[in-house]
Amino acid sequence: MIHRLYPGLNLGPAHGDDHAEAEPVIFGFWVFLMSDLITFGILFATYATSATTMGRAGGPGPAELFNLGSVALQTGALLASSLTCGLAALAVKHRLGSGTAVGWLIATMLLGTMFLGLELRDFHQMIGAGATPDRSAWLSSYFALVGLHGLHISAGLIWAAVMIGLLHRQPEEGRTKQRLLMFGLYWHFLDLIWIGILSVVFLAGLA
Amino acid sequence: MSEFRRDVLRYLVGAVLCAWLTLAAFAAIILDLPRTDSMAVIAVAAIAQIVVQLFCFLHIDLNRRQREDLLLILFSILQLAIMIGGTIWVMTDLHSRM
Repeated sequence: MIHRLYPGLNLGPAHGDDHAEAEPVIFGFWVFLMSDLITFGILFATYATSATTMGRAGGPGPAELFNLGSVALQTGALLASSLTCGLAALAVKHRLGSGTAVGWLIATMLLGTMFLGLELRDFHQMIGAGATPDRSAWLSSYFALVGLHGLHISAGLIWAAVMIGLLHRQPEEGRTKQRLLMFGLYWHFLDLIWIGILSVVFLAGLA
Repeated sequence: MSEFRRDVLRYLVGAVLCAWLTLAAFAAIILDLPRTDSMAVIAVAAIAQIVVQLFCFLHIDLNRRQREDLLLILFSILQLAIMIGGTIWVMTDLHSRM
């Protein structure tokens, strides 16, 4: 633990200069993550103030709209993808070969795509049931919060695909390793946000 | 134990703990506990899971070398608490006056 320079998984001294050079980059990425956290936080506050009888404006509520089974599958997929994404970073840190890292990243992408597919299916069913974002303040804030998280996941899937390309072409570049560490932080951060959405939106909505 | 095994174990332990905490939160809904009880279970499970993930996946701890980074995270959480707490306070106050 003596060789830790930055929060998150460290490459360690075995990676020479790449380890030290990652420090300012990773710190900067943490600044981005924390400002993103503020954005999500404000949407959580908006959601909390509109998740009331008045906020629903006589429209449909959580009990009619939420599909607990689908939400459970999404939670499982995202948690599993957080694990596979961590294992991809460990494969690079411990030099298990770029093939191993790419394999774990493909698993991460598959699980992330499953999450996104289930979420879009739920959105589709809600909209089909007349629960469109313009129906009530509650639904506006619901689609803003959950939709922004879904957009982040979509961006993460593109990023994972780019990482696979980079690991294929230049696995030993310091920049590739830094980007993989940042991708790991980003993906774990999205799982943290999802815990908040699961608890505040879905479980508290059905409690 | 080699560093590799320790690193892998940290992720595995984190994932298993998170899976159990998620199950506990879902169980509160499926068992249809009274609302205040299930809200308490959900809140405790969520906070515990966030702590587990911060430690196991994001490798945040109270290590002296990364105090600046910890300050960044704690300051962001303070800002969040002021903004979310303030918003909810003002809006519920308005609501009760309407």
